[in-house]
Amino acid sequence: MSAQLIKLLVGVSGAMLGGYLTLYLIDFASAPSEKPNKVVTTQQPVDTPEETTEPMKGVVISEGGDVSSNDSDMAGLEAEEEDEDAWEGAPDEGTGLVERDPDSYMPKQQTPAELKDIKEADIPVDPAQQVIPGVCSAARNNSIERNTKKLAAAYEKMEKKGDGLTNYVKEDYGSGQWKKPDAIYKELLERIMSKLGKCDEAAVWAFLADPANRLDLARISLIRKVGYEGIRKVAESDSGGTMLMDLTSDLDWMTGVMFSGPTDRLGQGLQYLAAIYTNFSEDMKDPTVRRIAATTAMEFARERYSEKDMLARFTYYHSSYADGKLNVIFDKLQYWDTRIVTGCKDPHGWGSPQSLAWQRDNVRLPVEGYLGACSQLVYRLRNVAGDSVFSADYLGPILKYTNNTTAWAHREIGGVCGACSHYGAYGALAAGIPAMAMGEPGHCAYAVRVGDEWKKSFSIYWQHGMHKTFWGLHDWDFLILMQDLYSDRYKTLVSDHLVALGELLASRRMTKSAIECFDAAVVAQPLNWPAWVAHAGYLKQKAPKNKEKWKEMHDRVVETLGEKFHNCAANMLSRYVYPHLLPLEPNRRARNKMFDAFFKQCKDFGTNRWDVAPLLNSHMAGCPDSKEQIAYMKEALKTLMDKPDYSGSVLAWGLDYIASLPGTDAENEALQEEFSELIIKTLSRARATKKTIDATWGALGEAIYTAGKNKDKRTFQAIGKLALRKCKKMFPKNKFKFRGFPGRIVSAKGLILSSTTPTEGQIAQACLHWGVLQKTGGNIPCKFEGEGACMRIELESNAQLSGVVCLFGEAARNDRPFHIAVSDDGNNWENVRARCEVAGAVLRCDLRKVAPCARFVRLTREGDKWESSIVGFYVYGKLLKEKKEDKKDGKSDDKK
Amino acid sequence: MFRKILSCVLLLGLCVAQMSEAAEYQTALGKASDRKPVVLFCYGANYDKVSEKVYEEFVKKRKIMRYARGAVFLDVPIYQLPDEKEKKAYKKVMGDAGPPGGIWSYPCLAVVDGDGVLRGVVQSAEEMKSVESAGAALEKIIDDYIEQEKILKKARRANGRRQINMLAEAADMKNVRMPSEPLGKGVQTGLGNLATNATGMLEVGQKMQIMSIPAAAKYMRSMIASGYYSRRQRQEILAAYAGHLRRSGASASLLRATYYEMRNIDPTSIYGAYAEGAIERWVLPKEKAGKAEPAKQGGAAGSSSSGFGNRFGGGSSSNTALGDTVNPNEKK
Repeated sequence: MSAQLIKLLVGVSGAMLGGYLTLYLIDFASAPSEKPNKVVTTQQPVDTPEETTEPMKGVVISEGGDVSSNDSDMAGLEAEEEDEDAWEGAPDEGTGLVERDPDSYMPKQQTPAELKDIKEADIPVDPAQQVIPGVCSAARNNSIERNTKKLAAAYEKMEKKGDGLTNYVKEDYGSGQWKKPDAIYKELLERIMSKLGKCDEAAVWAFLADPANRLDLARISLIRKVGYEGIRKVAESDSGGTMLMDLTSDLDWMTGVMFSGPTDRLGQGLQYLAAIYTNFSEDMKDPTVRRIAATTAMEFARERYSEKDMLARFTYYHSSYADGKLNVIFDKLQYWDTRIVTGCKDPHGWGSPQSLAWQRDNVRLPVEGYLGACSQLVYRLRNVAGDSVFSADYLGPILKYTNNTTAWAHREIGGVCGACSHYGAYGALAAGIPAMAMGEPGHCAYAVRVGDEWKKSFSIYWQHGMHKTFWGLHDWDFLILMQDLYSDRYKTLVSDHLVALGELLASRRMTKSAIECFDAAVVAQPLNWPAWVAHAGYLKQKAPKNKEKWKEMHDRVVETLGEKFHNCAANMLSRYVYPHLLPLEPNRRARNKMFDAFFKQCKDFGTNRWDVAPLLNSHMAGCPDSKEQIAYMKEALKTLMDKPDYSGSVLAWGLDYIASLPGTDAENEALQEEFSELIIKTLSRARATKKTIDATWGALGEAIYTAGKNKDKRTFQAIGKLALRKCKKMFPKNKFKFRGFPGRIVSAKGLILSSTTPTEGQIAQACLHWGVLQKTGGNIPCKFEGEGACMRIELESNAQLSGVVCLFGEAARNDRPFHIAVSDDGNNWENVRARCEVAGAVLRCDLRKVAPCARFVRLTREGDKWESSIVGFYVYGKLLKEKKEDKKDGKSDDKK
Repeated sequence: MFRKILSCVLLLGLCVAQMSEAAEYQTALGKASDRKPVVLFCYGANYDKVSEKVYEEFVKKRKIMRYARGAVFLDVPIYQLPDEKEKKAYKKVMGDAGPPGGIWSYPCLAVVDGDGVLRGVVQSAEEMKSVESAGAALEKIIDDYIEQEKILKKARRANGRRQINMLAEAADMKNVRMPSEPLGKGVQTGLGNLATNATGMLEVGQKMQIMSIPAAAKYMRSMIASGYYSRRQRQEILAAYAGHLRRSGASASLLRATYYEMRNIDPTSIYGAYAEGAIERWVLPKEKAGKAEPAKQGGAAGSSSSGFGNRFGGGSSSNTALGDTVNPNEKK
């Protein structure tokens, strides 16, 4: 299993408006195959000095997983072949933005290609700096926390003193000087390094206490991220030099640009800012206009939207602000949350200036009101003319009337979840309130920030793929993490400054001080995700085999980040820590202890329900052989089955894991068998007392749903029977009366699957799916829509069919015909000429004349979407292989 | 001295009594009648600079009052994340009631009946941009409200087809919505679920989709002629029918005639605009293609699509193709 990439499809987000389909995948890199090396001690020499001499590449993983050049500073470098041991794969895919690869934090990668005068090779090496610092003592951690608190208080005091306008201004570089960024860089570097002196802890804190130094740090970070050529290009453009002069002389503005979120494609962002400056230089004295300009420029650069679109968006927010048309919330936003607003997506549709302006003027609500604004649209898959929302004909005829205004057109005609959610979210965004649409499996919902709290609307499922992210991670938890991180603004700023210093020192080959800075950054602000990533990236390069440092990082993540943000901590561990730490820890007990430590933090789901499977998969990947894997699975089931929130997910994970194993050879089949039995055994042990029956029922529901989804008939049946035994009172006690067909029911021991994407609540009731095949009946929601959506049954085995009876939850109308198709393999279907009659809630399809032989049966309905619940489904016939049973009950009609 | 104390006690009692009095909204609803609705000026009181300006102009300077036609007027502050004081201020006006359902934007002028049901609302930016435009829209609503109430009063006394026609006439009032139970509490209207239910119209479309074109035409005609449907609903029925024709490849002239009929029911409505857009989108290109490729058009003459034309007048080029079946009393 080592070095194997497990791709797990976690959800298909159907923002059901045409073009809003989001497929998101999460990749999990398992542990590298290398064996652990010798035990390392503290103050250990850097492990891989040869790596530092290798040419570096600045890579970011783009949306599509493409490896591309990292910003303009890397433009001149050719892409290199991927290193086998490189950080594996894109951490996420989908609509999100890029997340910086930890490798890109390596010193040389951070050094812009153009900084020829300060080549790393030319930098004198200080032997005292070429060691990895030891694990932080408790005293040092306390000292970092104390200093952070003190510094954060000083930042806050200074900002308040400055009336929130300009805290610190130092106009020492004129517009002309920015045409020679190399000279500025040299000067800044000298100044910073001289002030840092020995770069010990005291020097670092003293350095950051001075606003002049903080401004220098922001300036040098800017040059490093953009590169000489990028800066020169901006400085030589219209108003570019003036913009750079104004920007880099103002600490507040520089902080907003450099330390309020990601700085991908910053060079492009500066060019956009210069373009705004050309047209609106007079207005730029207003800090709010600066905020609007900087955030729009940076976000549009990050999203790779055009300058024209960027200017249109800036103009919209600028004029709306100037005319007093935005909600007062906008006035109090910081840079990071303004980026969510001004950087909202879809600049030609929902985010077009005319659509935003229309919503701003016609959907003016208090912030809470936007949570219900989606209901202003009529929910219609097809408009009154019968055109689907997925076709251009849906809105086509009225676009001229509505002046191509997306929101207005949808309000007149209607839409489905995608349109409703975008209408709600963009209504808030148009008023200057942070909001965003989010994908859910087969659905689209949205979130609005009310006060400091993000609230969901139109949501039907726990899994959300946020449409706007800073770090390319789409889970809800990362949105909340972002909110908490930047709400704790001053501590975060201290942490960001420490990261910037760490990166600078790393580029100066000062390994020890750089690691100390990264250490301090994550202690100062444990919610600082980018700081963790930077730290892990640097550690990976300089101390990949240093077990103590990786273990220290593991423990810190678990204790701090993991306290509230379980999902985020799990992501950090499985993506960045385990791939290094687990191979260094051969002892199973020690490994299990680490896993236990994490799950001890997880008393519940934390900020949101999350998918525990990736973490468990990364644990599994750390097990060297199948024996250990089974042992680990036992441990995981034992630990998590006792936690009501996690029991369903861990069962589902187990079943998914089994299904993912290739079942071609005997060894794997035996392994699958063993896993299945283990899960069923665990399930059997689950107690269903009065108090716990709901939790048990939910866990079984999730497990049976997963078994069904994986087409695992054996487990589906086993869990169904178990559910009947443990939670009998949850099953209905129907005594249906209908006319059956000759033969026995051949579907009772089968598997039923519906094409409906179930809601969270429906999954919890999934044991009733099994009940549908039984005499007592059950319940399964099913969507019928032409050929595509159907009810599919796998029979006990091959059978010769005589008829099908389907019982609906309510009377069905006889206006559109039902069809039966059969198949031997579940893939190739053959329509059967059956006489299907609906009488009330009973559908009878007589197959006696045709008497097809098949293993799979499918029921479809002609015409448009029709959703119904099915309470009973019975296929009659005789099994072809069970002659003995035939004799017993083959001739009796099943009448209930 | 005793008298003074007594009068103080009485005054105090009066104050307490006044405090426990029904909220202003309830009092206003009590004063409403079929000739006098309640006008609520709802505005964002703590988050919206536009609302502040409008409030200043409309209410403080009392400029909107002259358009209220004697209706009971009440200004309702809407707060964003209200604190205790603001909650109290709202409660003083509205009691425990929320703003009437159906308001999509603030500031607005909401016209409600005695049951608190929203009957009309001036809320678009275009209308609310000045006192004059908002006042003109408000006057129209109040006039229509009075007229609609008159018709409904008569409808309550009538029965059978006459009652249904009156209800349809009331539903056709452009600036006001129907009350939730127009014939009185618990009394079913002859309009059925289609009168108020948007999904009802979708069902019409779905039904038509699996019909043959002649059957769909017959179905559509019977619905239009029934008199059960409002203007908007009749336009929607025609939209569904036209959509079915279009997807079945009917002739351009038949489509044009259908869209004309749809538009002419109410050219100023959204479906009037839809019909215009539909002609541009689907009819004109088809006509152009027909002119450019006469051979092809000729070839299609024998197809089933031209068959619809022959049977239903689609072969004719004028918009009176459906003239024989169009309701002669149709308002245009």
